[in-house]
Amino acid sequence: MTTSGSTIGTASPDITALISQYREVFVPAAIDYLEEKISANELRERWRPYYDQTFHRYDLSVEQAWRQSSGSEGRLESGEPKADPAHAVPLMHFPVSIAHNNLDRLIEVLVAELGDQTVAKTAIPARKVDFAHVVDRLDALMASLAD
Amino acid sequence: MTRPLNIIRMLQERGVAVGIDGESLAPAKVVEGHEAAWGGPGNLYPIRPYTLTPSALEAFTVRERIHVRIDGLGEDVVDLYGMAIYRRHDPHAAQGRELDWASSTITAQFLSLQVTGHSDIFGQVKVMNTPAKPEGARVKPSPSHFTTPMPIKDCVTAIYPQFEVEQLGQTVTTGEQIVRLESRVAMVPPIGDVSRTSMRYPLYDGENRQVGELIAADIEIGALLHHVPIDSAVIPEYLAGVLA
Repeated sequence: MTTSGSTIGTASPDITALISQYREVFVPAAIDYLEEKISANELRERWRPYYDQTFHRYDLSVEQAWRQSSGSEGRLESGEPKADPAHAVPLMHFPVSIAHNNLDRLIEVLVAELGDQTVAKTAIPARKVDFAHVVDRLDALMASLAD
Repeated sequence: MTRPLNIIRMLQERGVAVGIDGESLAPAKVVEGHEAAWGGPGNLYPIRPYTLTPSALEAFTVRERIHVRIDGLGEDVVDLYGMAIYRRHDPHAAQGRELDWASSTITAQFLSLQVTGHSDIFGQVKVMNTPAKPEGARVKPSPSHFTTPMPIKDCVTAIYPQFEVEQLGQTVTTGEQIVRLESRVAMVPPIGDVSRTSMRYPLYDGENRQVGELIAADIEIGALLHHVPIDSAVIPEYLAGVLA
């Protein structure tokens, strides 16, 4: 099956591998950022390999799971999909994809504001709070799916 | 059982990262994406991810959090709630390719944004778009730094917001500067999407005097309220520049 132009072998989203890397690679960076030990640029440098590689593989597998359950090839389709239990697996994992993509944009705007500075210099503290809550909630979401 | 880490509690117990509790924003709230996008039985059934759909008129619930400074009044973070309406155009295939999710571009004309909220500093605040100006959204293939196509796409919404501020007694705007909010999406309509500004915008009164600043804006797209397929929707010439 072709997914976003590339071929992958399995349709089972591996949430265990994803949360493992999230905790091993990204969470320590998020904590360092919130503790004002690293800059926004350094945060992004530690996020990118995780997002571009580990998450990318997972995201492709969520897409493939959707294609298999729905029969969709991503071309022009009308109307709403049927509320079919067959869609349960991809729709369980899809929120993980949405949250990662929203987190990527959040890190991007943290970098736009702060660059090489730490969050101690932020003039937009609400986004620091957003960041802490999204990192925590995404961990909890993945943990619930890993069981 | 995999237990959540609870990073916020851990940091609070260490006595660092003071103020990361959501209560520090009250009465505004954390922007983390609409509840429906965090899962739950049936919450995402109306969506068709990674798939192109024909042109349509669509209305959504919207929550917007703005961080604004107004000279003489002060600075505040304000939560606003309301709705938005788009006229989404037919998707465009990339050159030399068939229409498919990964490579196509999708555009929409912004028809309406109306959100309201309250601030102890500003009083009632209403934010609306400017229908007389070209406003729209564009969803295009994923960022170029990826070596393989991603299921996600980049989304840019461009609007001219108007801010009606009760305590100021007038409406302020960003003048001729269009405000860009960006995000990543894996479906259209983008339920659960969080788009954010990445720069500050000066705010002007009706006589073009700077009276403040839009420091940040963060928008959560919520529920799809209304979806009406339309036979075709072409991009008006005056809007093409904004969506290019």
